[in-house]
Amino acid sequence: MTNRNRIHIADWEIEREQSYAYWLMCAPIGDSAKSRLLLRFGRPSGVFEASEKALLDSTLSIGKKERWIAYIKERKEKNAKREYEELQTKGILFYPEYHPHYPVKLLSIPARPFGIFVKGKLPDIRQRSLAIVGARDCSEYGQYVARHFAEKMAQNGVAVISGLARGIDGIAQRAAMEAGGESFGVLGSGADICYPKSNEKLYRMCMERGGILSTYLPGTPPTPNLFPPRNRIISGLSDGILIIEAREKSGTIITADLALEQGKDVFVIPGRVTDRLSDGCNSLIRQGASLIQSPEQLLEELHIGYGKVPVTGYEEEEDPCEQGKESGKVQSDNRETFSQFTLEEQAFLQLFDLELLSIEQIRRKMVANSFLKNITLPQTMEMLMKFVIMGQLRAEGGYYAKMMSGIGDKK
Amino acid sequence: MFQVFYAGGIQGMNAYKVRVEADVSNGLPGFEMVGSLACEVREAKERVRVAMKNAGFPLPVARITVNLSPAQIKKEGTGYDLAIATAILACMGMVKKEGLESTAFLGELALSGEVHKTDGALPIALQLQKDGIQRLVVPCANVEECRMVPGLTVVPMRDMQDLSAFLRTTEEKRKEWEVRGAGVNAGQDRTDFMQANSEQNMLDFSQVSGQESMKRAACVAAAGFHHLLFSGPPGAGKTMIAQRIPGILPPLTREEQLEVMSIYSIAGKPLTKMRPFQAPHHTISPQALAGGGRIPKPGVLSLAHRGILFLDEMPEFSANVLEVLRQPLEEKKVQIARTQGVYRYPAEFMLVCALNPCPCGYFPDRNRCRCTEPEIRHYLGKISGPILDRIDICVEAAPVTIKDLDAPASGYDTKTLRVMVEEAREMQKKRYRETAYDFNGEVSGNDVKKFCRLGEKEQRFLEQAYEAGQMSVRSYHKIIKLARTIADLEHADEISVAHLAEAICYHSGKRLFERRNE
Repeated sequence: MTNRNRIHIADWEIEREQSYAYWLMCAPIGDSAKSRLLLRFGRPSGVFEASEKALLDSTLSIGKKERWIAYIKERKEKNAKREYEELQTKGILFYPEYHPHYPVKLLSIPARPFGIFVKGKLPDIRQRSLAIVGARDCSEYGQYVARHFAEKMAQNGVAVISGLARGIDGIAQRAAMEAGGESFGVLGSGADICYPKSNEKLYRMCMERGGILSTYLPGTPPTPNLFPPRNRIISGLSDGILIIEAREKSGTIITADLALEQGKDVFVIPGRVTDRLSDGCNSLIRQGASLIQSPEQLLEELHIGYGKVPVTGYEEEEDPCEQGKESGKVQSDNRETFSQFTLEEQAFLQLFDLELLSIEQIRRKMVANSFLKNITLPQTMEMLMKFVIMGQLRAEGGYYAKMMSGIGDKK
Repeated sequence: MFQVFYAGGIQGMNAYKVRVEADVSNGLPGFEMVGSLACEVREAKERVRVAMKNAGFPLPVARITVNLSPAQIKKEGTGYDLAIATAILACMGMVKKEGLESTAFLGELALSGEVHKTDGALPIALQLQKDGIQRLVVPCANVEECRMVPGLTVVPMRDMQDLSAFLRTTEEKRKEWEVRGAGVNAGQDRTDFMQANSEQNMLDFSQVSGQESMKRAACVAAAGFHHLLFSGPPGAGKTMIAQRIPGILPPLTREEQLEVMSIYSIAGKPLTKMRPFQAPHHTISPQALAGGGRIPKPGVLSLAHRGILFLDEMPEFSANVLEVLRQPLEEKKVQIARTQGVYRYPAEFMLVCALNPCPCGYFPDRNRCRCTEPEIRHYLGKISGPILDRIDICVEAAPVTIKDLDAPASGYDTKTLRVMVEEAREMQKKRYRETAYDFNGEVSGNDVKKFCRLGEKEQRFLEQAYEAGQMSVRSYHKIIKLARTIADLEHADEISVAHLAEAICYHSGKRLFERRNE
């Protein structure tokens, strides 16, 4: 099916054709027009060497011809070679659609890109991959869930694909790579441009431990109109897409729609109905997307997870993935001692959630609690610090929240 | 005929005695004034001439020369008129000089002959008293402040008629003048201490519902002279609490009152015996904050001396304005350099700042706040590290709901808090008896070990907190000092783990400014 609308070029010829293919990639015409030209002339060099008339005849349907004509007139073999060499010196790989390395998953998506630029590597065909997308201005809950799921995916060999954006995207990718997994970032700009700037570190990490992908020419600056099309690449490259926190009418929901069009599975983390940040997620669930409560469910849906790590492992203390990490160890120690806390202390810990609470908010909850009514403010602060040091609570600025150890854990 | 009387002048914060000499002699009729005079002093000759004429003492048709000495100091201000008029009257033979040797005259003349108030009367009176002046004649509007000076009798003067009568009577009769009240003419804006006091007294901590942690933080800050920062959504009561902090500070001592009132007197501001509370708007210029002008007048920082400087919406202040704070926070004074010399104004204030945690104000409530991380970082980043470094306490205010307004008030009211603060300050006074320090907040890094010893258990607790990422090496001493103040509030001789935990809580609020990059 996929071979019907694209050419085939023998392996030994591919390298020779690359500079012509890059020339064609840079042409000011649409992706489908490029594909048509290839089908007509057989190979990139064929397109390059075709007469101006022949080229224009096969691209009658395109709109603005002036730039295209000028582009044809200006073509010089020397320049095409030099420009492709320049691309190579930048460390950017280029795979046109007929290339054996061109991601197979992209071949079947509507409006597939003519070529793809890569810094680092491409996702392995045999590897399972999951897109994790969500709100940029995410809540603590979203951050935690993103981190947790990404870690579990990484530990089970699932590559995390996302947009290297602020918020959920970046958090998930970082967590996946920090857990030793691979992650691929699809950019809405040239592959050599890091946007947002604040994710510079993540960008470099991604280059080393995964790949930076883009369908835009190197040097293309990020503009708002470039982002929705790249969302189709994110979903296209993945086996499924996990949505964590999305407002109604957000970029994330667009990505979910694209994923559905491409026939991918859409998984959604539910949120509270009072959270505007979860409105988009909840309505996706209402429309029939699958609700995900734990990483195990997700792995099951992706038909993996039984192999590498026993699913039950997450509920036990002897989680092999957690055991190596220091934080995991502290938490398991604490959970054993939980019953040693006094009733007061237990009631105190019950006040906390993922939400960040200021001391004043904690005090208000305490006043309403019969166990904790009589505790003074200085005593409250002492307890807070004690639990922070023990690793039961976590502090961020002057705000406090529960230190979460896992999702779906049963106390 | 040549006559000498005394007046006083102001340069920066320093007053000095001025000899006013007048001479009336034959020659071409005219009025000359010499002695390095600023233009407002030079204009005195017109005020004096017309005022005397309208009061019925026309100047003689003769050559009048007035000299203000020491002649090398540039004279500023309008307070010399009265002394000049007196000297001329004396030259005209209308003054009984006996008993006036140690009397000085201060005041500005109006063309009608009325005596108007003058700025800086209090510091001048203090200095003149030291220089041997026993009696000071001042405008009615300045009487109250000058009567604060011990060992100085003050005579209020309404107009030229009054002055002439005072000068002509015998020394015994003059005694009667000394007990005269300021009279109806007294400037309302200067002397009505009582009004200002009652306004301050109306503010009480019990009027703020909830926000227990902010109240407690205010109490700790006031007890140990720690600078304070409130962060929270709009309408949480940050400003209300800040306004009430002067009320929990111990009343000014007499020396402090004189010091504070001197500054206000020089600045020409209404005087008060209360702790100052200055809340400049965020559009303030660096000059208005530090003090400025060709002849620098004290700025807001000095007007907040011994009181509270409250910066509401701190990130809205321009960066160069905030940087002005650095020197006074460190050295407790403002220095302004001009060609004629460096002016120093005291500026020992407790800094109270309030800010929203993000541009919209509702972070971390993500349902209401849609500020992006970079926006928040940019917003909080407007407050530079050095300023933040000097702030010891940072607390978060929680948004207030209708339910909270109905909730019973917590046990903190101004009276209880003030007692707590006063007792804690008493303990500090004892501790720092033989040092240059007054408060825990002032102790420098090296001396912390000496005054704030920690037990083994407490030391270990700090190490644990450090390992848990709750404090940095940088904040080590600050936390101990803060814990010392908390211990003082609880009358504890030793710092305990509870005190340290509370201190870390206050300090960790500042880590909001170092939010990690995600």
